[in-house]
Amino acid sequence: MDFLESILVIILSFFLVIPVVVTSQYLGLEFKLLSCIDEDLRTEVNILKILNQEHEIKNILDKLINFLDSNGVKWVSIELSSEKYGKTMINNERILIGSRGQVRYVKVLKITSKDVLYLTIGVRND
Amino acid sequence: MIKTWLIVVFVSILMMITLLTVNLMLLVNVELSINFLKQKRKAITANSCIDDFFESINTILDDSVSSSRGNFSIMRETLEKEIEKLIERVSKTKGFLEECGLKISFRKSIVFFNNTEGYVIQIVAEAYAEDCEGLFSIRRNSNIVRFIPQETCKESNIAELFPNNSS
Repeated sequence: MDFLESILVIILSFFLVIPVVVTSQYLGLEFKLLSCIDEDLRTEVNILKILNQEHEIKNILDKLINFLDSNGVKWVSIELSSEKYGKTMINNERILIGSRGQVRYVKVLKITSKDVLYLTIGVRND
Repeated sequence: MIKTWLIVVFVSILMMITLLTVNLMLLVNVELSINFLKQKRKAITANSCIDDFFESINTILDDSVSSSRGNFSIMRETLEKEIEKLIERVSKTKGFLEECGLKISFRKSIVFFNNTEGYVIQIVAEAYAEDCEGLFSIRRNSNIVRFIPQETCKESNIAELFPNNSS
């Protein structure tokens, strides 16, 4: 009888542990997503500040790369396009994309009286 | 007489249920925070675009007034042409904004009228931003007005340029 009781306890515990483990893992993923969105939001706000301060493409790119590097943003690519200056693409050789190649994008738009600037930054998902 | 294994089972069930409840509560909170940050991000993008649009109209109006050097017909022509170009440019951003989860429509109306002291150019700019998921919408208006004193206008036929006091 004792043996049967222990088996029952083990099976019961197993079935109780499963939902806890699953929700914990899902919670971990959600926290990761939350931190990514928070990082993207802060990046976007700072990029908008840079775009409001600078008007030359070269200065924008310099400040942008400086900001991304100094804040530890794992950027993979920067794509800047406008009607006036065309398309500029910069790839970050230092950041390698993993086998899954997961990259999320931060998109920023700047409208001026003479031009519209489209900025897309690819950030590696960890 | 309560069996020992029954106590163990009861305690573990209680612990697991507590853990599960805490996890589920945290999940709901994190999910809400994620949605809030996503909406905040979209609202920041929408507001920034609308600010840029109003600022661009302001700049175009200033440029048109300064470049015309008192010639009202040139000013009016330049202003209307540049504003049309701006509207065309911003309408091209539709696809990019949809990728950001936003729909923004921009509208403007230009009114010219004169009074005894001079000429007034009034631009009413309107922007309506809507979240693609339908969670929020922003409507903003801007009334941009410039007054040109009569003595600074070089043209003699200026009154003929806006016979009905509007355009």
